[in-house]
Amino acid sequence: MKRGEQILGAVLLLFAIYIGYESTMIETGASSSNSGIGAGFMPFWLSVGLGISSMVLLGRAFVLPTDRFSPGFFIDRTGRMRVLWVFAGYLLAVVVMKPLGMMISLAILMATTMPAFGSRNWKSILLTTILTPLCVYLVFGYWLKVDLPMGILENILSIY
Amino acid sequence: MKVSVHNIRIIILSILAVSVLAMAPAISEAASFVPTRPIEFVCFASPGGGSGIFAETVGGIMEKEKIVPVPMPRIYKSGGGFAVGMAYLAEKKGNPHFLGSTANPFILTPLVVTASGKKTILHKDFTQIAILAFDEMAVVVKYDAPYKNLKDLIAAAKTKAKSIKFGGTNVGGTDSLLVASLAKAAGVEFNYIAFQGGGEVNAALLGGHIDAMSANPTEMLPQIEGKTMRMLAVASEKRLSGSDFKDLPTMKELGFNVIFNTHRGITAPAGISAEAVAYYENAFKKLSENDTFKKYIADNNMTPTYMNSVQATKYMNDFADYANGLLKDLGIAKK
Amino acid sequence: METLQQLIMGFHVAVTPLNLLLCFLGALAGTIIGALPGIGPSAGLAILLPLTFGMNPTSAMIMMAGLYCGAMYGGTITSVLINVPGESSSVMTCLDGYQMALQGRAGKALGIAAIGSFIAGTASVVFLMLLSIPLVKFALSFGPPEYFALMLMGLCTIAGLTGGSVLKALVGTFLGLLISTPGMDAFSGLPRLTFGLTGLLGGVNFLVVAVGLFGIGEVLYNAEQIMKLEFVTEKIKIKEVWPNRAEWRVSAMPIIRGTFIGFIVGVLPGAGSTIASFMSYATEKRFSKHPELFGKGAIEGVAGPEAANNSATGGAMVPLLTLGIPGSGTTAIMLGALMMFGLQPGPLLFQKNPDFVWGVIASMYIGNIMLLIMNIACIPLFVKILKIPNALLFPLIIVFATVGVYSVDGNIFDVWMLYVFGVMGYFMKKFDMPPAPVVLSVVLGPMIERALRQSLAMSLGSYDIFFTRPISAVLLLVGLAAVVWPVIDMARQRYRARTGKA
Repeated sequence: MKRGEQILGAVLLLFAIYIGYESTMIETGASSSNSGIGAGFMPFWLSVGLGISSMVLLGRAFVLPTDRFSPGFFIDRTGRMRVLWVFAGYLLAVVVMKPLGMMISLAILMATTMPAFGSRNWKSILLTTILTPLCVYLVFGYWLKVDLPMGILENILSIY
Repeated sequence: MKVSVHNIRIIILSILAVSVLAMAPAISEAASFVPTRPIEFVCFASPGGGSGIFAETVGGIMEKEKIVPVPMPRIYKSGGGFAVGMAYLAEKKGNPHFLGSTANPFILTPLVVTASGKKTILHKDFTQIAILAFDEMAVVVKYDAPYKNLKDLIAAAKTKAKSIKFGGTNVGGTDSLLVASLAKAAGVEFNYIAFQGGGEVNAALLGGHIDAMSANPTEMLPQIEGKTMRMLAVASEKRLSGSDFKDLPTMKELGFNVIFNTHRGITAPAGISAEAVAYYENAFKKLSENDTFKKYIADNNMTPTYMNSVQATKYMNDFADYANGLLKDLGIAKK
Repeated sequence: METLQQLIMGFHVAVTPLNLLLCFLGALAGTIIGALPGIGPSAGLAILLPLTFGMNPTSAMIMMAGLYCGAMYGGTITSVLINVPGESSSVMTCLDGYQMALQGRAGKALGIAAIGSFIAGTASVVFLMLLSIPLVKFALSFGPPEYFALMLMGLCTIAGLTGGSVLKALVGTFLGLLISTPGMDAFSGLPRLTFGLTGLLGGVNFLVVAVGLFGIGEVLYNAEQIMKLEFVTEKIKIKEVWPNRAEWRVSAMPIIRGTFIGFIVGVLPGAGSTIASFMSYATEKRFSKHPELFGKGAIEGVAGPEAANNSATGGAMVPLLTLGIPGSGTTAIMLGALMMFGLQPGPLLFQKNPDFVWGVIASMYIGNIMLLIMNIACIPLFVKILKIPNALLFPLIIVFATVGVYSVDGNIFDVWMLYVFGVMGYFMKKFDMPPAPVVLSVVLGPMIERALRQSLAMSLGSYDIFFTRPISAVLLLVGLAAVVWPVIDMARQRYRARTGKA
């Protein structure tokens, strides 16, 4: 984790520098709308604050001895695999939401993440993969009248 | 139940029927247009506000009076001063089963975003269908303020630049442009202070933290009756028709040539057929003659109008030019 | 006495079978809507609005008031059970409520939340009746400088709010404040830090950050070590939901204080129930004899904020009913609804439509009683959610968070943001960075900046405005004390420890 904290501090510092740079592109001083401070004032000083505090974080991560941090980032290899698997499945579901619609996206989400969370029973995976989007459609789409994106299902469903 | 051959045949037939129906819209659009599926009526603001109530009223009457033969569900896509909803509707290019309800931010937000040097969707990227009404705006002060009429307020603003604190919603929005055009007409400089929403502006005015604000006259009526606020002038062409407002002067008759309001209109995605435009023009013409709709317009002291697609487009382009000039005065758009 | 007579008249209006039924339906719908992440009371009201068109205004308003109160109760359920704040004001409940659930005390957490909500909700209606007029004057005296001082005071307490590293909490605070900066800038009228993304024009939705960092972050974190999470899943009886003597003792004062804080903050237009619950939590932690227990399942960390956010609903009705000014997004929709019914909310509403106003007030009493009974009775049912096997529960949390977040604005961009903040929440948990400072800063950030810039616009750029106005000066002093006191205290303790050893 010592290495992890070093990376964390560095990433935060870079982020702060980037936002700080971006905010200097916006007016920070007196703007034409006379409010004394401009739109860039807050982002700039906040990124300065973030920069300083992340520098302290970075410094600590270098100076403090290793035994002050927990040993590894992941507990074990299988743990790492599971996390990455969930990240990937979830990401896939988000990516396909617009073209394929909310229902299919949620089905993908269930189908990919359930095994990662430890379900080995393919029958129950299949069942929930089908049932979850239907329930969501019933509660949110039908009852609460939320306009769920239907994607490719739009033409089929809209005739009702 | 036993599944017989007969049943299976019915199932297959119904599946076929369903898939033909699914393709039906594509076929029917070729000839004269009639909507065959529910029309998604997109409101770019959240429900409950002026735009939300307008969309709710219009959609409700269109359904109830069967002006359109299909349901017209209201879909709220709010955020980013109309930008989020506009992006959504623009994606439906060529699809005549989507409509949107417009107001000033429909034109103003893209202008402002463009001024900041970013590309965005403009009002010109849509097919305008109609404009149905104008929501008027008035200048309001606290009841016990020293300004009893608009002249007092302007005189006070003249003594020292920025001595009058004028509250309203975001800079670049309708409120700020009204204030800008009044300042221009009167040759004064106001100290414009932006607030999150109408409620906060009201509270700031009643608390005496600002001197004046711009607001919808009908919404402020209870405050006038309760003698907590005073309405100075309205920025409309003629005096408002409601009996409560017969003593409220227009800015024009006071010698300030300011006419500023927000339109309430209907838009559709770009690239829809001329038949579809004609169909909707006709449908909203019918709406504008409907009694329930007329009552809504009168109750809210709006100015009724009907502009067809061409007129609405011209109105919006002119308004955009005028607003752009004001944005330059505010220092937003580049001179 | 006049008030009492009018209240009795109000009960006459509220206790018709139809109005009772509507109140119940509103409360029930509110509870469900509050529990669904994303759909909060304002979206719920918007959904309900078309249904109320045929009704008379009083019945419609009774139903809406029921829904508003119900949503405050409902938001607690998911916060406690699965660490997903159902709506924004229940973020603070996640901190200790979820910890209690992990310790197998979910029933107790929900129980004290319902009871605290009931006490505070009822008390706030009493305040609404008796104190409306003087309080509304006080609320109006809050201008931008006062809001700035109030928010700054809140901000100063954030870093000390959660246990663990103060440095990391500070980093989180800055990060949260930065997250709140993109969007259309109201003062220059121009978009800033949007990186060309249309979805960012409206700013980062606070709820996306809250659900992402708390809920999704927790789920992703659990993917790694599935077996470690063991909720106690034996059957919960109603008796175990009710707090015992010791729990009453620690919760009583937090509930009372939370009620007052919530009501006062609720009356201020533009502060809202989220700020109320946060201030209550900060207060309780400061007053507590065991601040180290906060964040580890302290029951008073649930009782106080829950009381505060319910009390704030009563408070928010004050400016609405007495002035016709909406104090929050939810009451803004109510205002719109009232106008659609032809009522004119404004300073004369109490005189012109007394049966309406008192009917609504009476129904808020009834609604709170209904909600208490409903919630207590249903807690064993709610807790059953935890019996769902993890392999199903965790994906379902992601599903409901996704749909809920999408429902707020109907924007897929928010789903993307949820993913980003979920991943961020995972890493923050890995690095022991508490999510609460980030989330609270996202709420406070825009308010602080707005108030600061409004104040400076009012004073034409002079900072004196913060010190020459009495309320703002006092608030700033309190804020200063909140920062300086812990430092002095720590120094003193160190000094004592050293001299003690020597």
